[in-house]
Amino acid sequence: MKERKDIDRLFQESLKDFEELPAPKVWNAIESKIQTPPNKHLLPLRLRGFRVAMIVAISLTIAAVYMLPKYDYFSILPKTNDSELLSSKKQSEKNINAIKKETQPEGFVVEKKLNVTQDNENKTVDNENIDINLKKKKSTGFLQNEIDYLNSISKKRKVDKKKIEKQDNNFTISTVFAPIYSNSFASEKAGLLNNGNILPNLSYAYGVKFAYQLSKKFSLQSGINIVNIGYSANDIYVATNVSAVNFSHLSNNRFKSLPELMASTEPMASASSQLNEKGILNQIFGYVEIPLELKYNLINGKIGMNIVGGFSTFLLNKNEAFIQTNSFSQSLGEMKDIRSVNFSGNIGVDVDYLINKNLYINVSPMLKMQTGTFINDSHGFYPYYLGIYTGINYKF
Amino acid sequence: MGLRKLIKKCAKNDIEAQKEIYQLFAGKLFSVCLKYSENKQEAEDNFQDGFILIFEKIHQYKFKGSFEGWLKRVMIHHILAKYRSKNILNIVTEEIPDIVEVEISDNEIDLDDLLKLIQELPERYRLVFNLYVLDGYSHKEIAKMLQISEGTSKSNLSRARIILKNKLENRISNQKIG
Repeated sequence: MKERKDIDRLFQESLKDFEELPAPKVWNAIESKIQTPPNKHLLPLRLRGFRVAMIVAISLTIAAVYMLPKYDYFSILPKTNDSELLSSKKQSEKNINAIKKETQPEGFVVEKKLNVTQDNENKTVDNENIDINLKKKKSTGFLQNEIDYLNSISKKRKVDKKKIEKQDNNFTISTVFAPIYSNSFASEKAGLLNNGNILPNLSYAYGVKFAYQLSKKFSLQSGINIVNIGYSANDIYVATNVSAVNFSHLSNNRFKSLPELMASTEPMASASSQLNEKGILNQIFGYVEIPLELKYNLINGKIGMNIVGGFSTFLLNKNEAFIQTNSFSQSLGEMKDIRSVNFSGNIGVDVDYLINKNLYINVSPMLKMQTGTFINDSHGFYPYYLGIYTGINYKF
Repeated sequence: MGLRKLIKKCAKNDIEAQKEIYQLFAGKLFSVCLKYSENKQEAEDNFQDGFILIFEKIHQYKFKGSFEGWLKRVMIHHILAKYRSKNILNIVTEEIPDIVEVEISDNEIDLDDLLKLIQELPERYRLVFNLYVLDGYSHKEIAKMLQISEGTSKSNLSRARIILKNKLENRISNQKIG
């Protein structure tokens, strides 16, 4: 029997308990898509990564400052006071007089083995990434909230897409720590002293690095390092007749000023073995290093590989030299033939391991060859160092 | 396992919990998609994307109100967002009578036919008819959700009713002829 029905009511009643299951393939499609971490985890992961980076960076810094052997040039000096120095000088003069003016032109006869020591100091910084997160709090008006929520869904997806695109061209900040093996390209007769035998030295460096992704393959990186490089000539035999100062080619004119003791014109004695003293000649150069390097990506993936090349500018901010023996020590002032600005050519490889989208660690063996270190290149002393740079990198 | 625990596990991306939630609510939510979509294929697409969205947003559910209601709202909003992005909802307001009746006897037309009639409605009418008649939203709410005026919402609804009535009567008369 027919009856007139309101069309709304007809559909409401008919479809009230309507349910239909989708095809099984639909769940398979959903399952494959939700296997990847959803976007909501991006922010917490980033923050967690940032915290980890900060903790490791701080730990490395503390370890570097307090635990690793730091070469303190001044600490190796015997603690001599003025009176000791004076008595030493008087004793020397007595000995000299006893030998009755059989003077030789050289004041010091120096034999040596040369060591090069090098300390690099870098500073570490990290930065915080601020992520865009669209949040909508549910409040009173249910409908308005639903509408806002709906809008946020589409906006969030657009922002996420932009974020991912942006991550392909982003900045990276990194901590850097590197054990450094230093040495020099020098001829047998080069170096600080004649007949030089420059021994390799192991030191370390730490600092901060910034990188900008120029393209998919290339990125530009720079940073700031504070580097202290020390050269020491160990096992120097010093005869304490002090009429003149000659360290073979390391002549007086390499120093801006000379101490009274060294410049003394008292009568000289020959360098008899009785008077020889074993000592150390030290020089400390402190630099602010600003590297500028181009990185080319060879392999991109969980483990990536890059080639790095570039140069560093070294700005001199510390320049000291001093001599030390068992009986005395004396500053020699500043070396005047070292350039206030010099450079190095850098080349190496960089292997990185991706921890997550924003965080990765890297190991980068780098060879840095310094040039223009000395005003007079005739010294034939061309320092270089090989560093295994490791770091925690954070992309944002 | 309780629903609350399941939801919390889903928020932690637990695939087993997600599967269980899916099995519990797939039928109800797919029926929503069928009513709001033009055909079954489109309904499956909407359902799939909507469920992924649900899993992405499930941590935003604060256990206030019915979970099923929340799921349904997310699904409806997802579908509306899709159609709104197609810019299909701006139409001219027309004045058409409020009540539309159809002469029909019990069991004269089955559920699949009614569903097909809704799916065959133009998108703009189908959405408003679903929101107002089947899901109980007011014209004011619909106007805000679809970013149209209340008058447009009313007009769409009336148009939808007329179309449904005509198609229903045609179908009944065809059945008689057949």
